[in-house]
Amino acid sequence: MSPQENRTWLQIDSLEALMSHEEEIVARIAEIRNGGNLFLANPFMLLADMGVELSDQAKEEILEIEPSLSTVSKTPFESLKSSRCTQNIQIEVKGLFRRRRQ
Amino acid sequence: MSLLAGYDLIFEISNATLLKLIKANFKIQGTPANPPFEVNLPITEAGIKGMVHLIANDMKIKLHADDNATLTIIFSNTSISLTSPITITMSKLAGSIAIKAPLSIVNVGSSNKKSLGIDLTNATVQLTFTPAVVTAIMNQLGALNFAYNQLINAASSNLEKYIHNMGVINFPLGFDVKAGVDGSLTQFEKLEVHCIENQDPAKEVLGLFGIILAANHNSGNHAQKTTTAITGTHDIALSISPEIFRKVLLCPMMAKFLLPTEYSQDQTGTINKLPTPCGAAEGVKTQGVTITKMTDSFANGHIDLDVSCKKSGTCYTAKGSVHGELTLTASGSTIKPNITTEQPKIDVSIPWYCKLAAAIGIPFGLEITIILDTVMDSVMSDLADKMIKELFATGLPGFDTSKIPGVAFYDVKISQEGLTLLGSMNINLPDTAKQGIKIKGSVQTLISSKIGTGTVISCKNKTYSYEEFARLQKGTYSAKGTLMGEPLALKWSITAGSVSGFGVPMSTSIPVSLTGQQGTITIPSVETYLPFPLPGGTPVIKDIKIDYTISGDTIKLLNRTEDNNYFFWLEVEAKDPLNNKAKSEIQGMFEGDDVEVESGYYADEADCLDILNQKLKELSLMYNDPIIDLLPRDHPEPDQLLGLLYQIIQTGDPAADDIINRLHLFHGHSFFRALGSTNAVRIVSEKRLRDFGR
Repeated sequence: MSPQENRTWLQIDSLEALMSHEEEIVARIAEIRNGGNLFLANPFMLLADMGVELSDQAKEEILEIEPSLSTVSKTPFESLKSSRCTQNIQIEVKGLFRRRRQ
Repeated sequence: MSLLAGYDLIFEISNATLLKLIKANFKIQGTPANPPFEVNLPITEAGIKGMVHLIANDMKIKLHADDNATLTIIFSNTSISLTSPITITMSKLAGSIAIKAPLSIVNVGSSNKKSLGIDLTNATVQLTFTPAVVTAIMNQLGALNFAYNQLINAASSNLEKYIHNMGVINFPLGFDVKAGVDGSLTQFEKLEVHCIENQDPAKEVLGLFGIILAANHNSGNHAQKTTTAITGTHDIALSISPEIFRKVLLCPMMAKFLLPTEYSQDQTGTINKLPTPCGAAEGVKTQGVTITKMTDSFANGHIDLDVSCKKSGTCYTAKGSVHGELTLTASGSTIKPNITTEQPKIDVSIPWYCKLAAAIGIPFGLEITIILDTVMDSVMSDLADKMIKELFATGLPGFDTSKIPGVAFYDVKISQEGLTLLGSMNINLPDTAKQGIKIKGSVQTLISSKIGTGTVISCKNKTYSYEEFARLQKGTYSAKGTLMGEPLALKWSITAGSVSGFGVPMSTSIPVSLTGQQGTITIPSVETYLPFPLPGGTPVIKDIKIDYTISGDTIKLLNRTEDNNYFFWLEVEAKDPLNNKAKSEIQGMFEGDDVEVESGYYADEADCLDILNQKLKELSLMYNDPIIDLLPRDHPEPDQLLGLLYQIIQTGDPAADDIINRLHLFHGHSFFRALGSTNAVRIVSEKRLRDFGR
C-alpha cells in the first residue's frame, strides 16, 4: 500500500470531481501491488485506503451507475490486501467508472 | 567436450553396432563375413599358384581419429595349398588379416542419395601369422628350399589385390543430401562421417555429422566432439540441436496443428504466419485465444516452453503467459511427451469498472494451459515418426531391405546443448555356418539291357506284355566339409537293405568300410527287392557286391545288376588337421532289375482306383470331392506318392492291399524312392499332424 494510506489525499464530493482526478488515481492504482485486483474487489475500500475520501453524495452517484457495488463483500479485498504475493491474474485498470449509466 | 560440436544433428553408432552392420553387409566371394565363415581364395602371384582355405572365427573393428577403420579378421585352422612352383599343403594356420580403410559418405543411385560406406580401393592389408605358425611354415618350406618371405609376400599381395577389387562397401543407411537447401531430419544440407576414437571399444563410435540448415553450412568442428553421447546398454544415439528442434520439429508441427489447411498447401508460408520465433506474425488465433509468442529453451533434463497469449472480451483485454516444462520418455517407436505447467500469469486491462463476474471469472489461464498441453501433445506425438520412420525406414536402391536396421529408442536426454535419443539397432545378421560335413550326389543308369519279356494281368483281368531290364548304375558322391580345416581325412562306409513303408531303414546290413582308392566290397545278407512275381514283387536276402573308386573327396559306386534292387546308406566320417570330427550319411538306391509294362495296364489301374474312389464317396456321402487321385506315372513327387499310399491305407477297404501291390509296378522307381525318402516322410507326417489338429 502506498505511503498515503490512512491519510486524506483527495476530498471528493461528487462523481464529476472524482472523474476529474481519474487519470491520476488510475496511475496510483497501477503502482500498488495487485492494485487493479483490489479495485475490482472493492473500489470504495481501495479508494479509502489510498486517501480518497468520498462524500455520501459521491458514493450515491457511483452506486447509481454501478448498483452492484452496493453489495460488494469486504472479504476478497481484505484477503488480497493481506497477501504479499503478486497475483497470477494481474488486472490493469484503465478507468474508474462510467460517466453515466448506459 | 561437446554434444553436437556445432553441427545440427549427430547420429552415433557404437563400435559393436558398426561391426554388426559390417557383418550383415560385407561379403567375401559372396559369403557374408559373419564369423564363423570360410572362403577359398586363389593365389596367383609372382609365379606362385595355390589356394588359401580361410576359416574366420572372429572379427573386430577399431576406429581411428583420422576417420579410418581397421577391420581385423581373426582366422584359425586355415590352410594354404601350393601347386606351383612347389607342391605343399600347410595346415593349422592361425593369425589375422587387418584391413585399414577410410569410412566415408558415398553416392548411391544419384548424387543426392548418400550412404555410409567403407572404401577398400586403397585399403592397407596386413596378413599376420602367430609366431608358432610362422615357425611351422618356415620349417615346412625350408625342407623344400623355399623362402618364407616369398610365400608371405605373394599371399599378402594377392590378398591386398583381392580386397582392393571389392571397391566401396555400402551400408543400408540412406540419406538425402542437397547442398544449399534447408533440409529436414531426412534430408541434410551437408553430411560428414567421423570417428570418435577411444582406447575402450565400448566408448568408441562412428558419427554421422549433419548440417540441416543452409545458414549453418560452415558451422561444425568435429574435433570438438571427443566423447560419445551413447550411455548404458544403448548402442545408438541421435542428437539434435535446440535450433533444429525448433525450426525442423516444433515450428512445422505447430503450423500443421494450428493451421492445418494452410499448412497442407504451403508449409513454409504457413510457418511464417506463426508468431515469433517461428514466423513473423503478431499472433495466431486458436480456440478463441491468440498465441502471440511461443518460445523454447533447453535446460538440463527438460525443455522450457513459454506461451504468450491474448484475448479480448466485452469489457476487458487480457494478456497472459504460461510456463511449461517438457520432458520426454521413449519406448521403441513411441516418444511420449509430458508437460508440467505452472499457473498462468495474466494481465487483464479493464477500461472502466466492469461487472465483477466478467473480470474475476475470466477462464483465460485455463485456456492457455490447455493450448500449451494440446499443441505440445500434438507436436511431440509426431516426433517419433519424424525421428524414426523418416530417418531410418527409407530403403536404398540395391539394398536388401531385410538388412535395414530397425531402430528403436528407449531413453531421452535433454541438456542445454540439445536433445538426445538413445536406443538400439536391430540388425538381421546372416545365418552362420556350423562345423560339419555333408555328402551330395546321386545315382545314374550307365547301361540298361533288356533281359526278358512276359505278360501280366491287370486289375480288370486284361493281359499286357512287359519287358525286364538289367540296369548298371553308378552312384557319384562328394563329401564337403564346412568350417573344417584342410586336408580332410575321410573314411567311407556303407550299409544296404530295405526300408519300411515310411522311409525308415527296416532291414539293414552291417556297415562295411570302403578303404584304399578302389576295390570291391561284399555286403552280406542284404534284403533286396525283385519285381517278380508281378505286380507286387518279392524281397530276396542275398550278399551283394559294390565296386568303388575314391578320388579326393569323391567316391563312385557301381552296382551289380544281379543284385536286384536295394537301398544303401553311404556314410563318411571326416577328421581335419586339428582333429575336429564330423559325420554324414546319404541314402541311395540301386535298381539292377526293372520292369516296364504296356501303357494300357496303367490305364486299367487308374480305372480300378477310380472305382474305389466312387465306392468311398458313396460311403462317406462326399459326392463332389475326389478322395483319391491316382498320380500320373511321370515321376510324381515322393511326398505326393506317400500321401496317396496313406490315403489308400486309411480307407481300410479290403481292396487297398491289392491296389498298393499294384502301385509297386505302376510307379516302379518312383514308388521305391517315395518309400525311401525321409524328406517325403517328414512332409506327409506334418500333413497328418495338421489333419489331426496337432
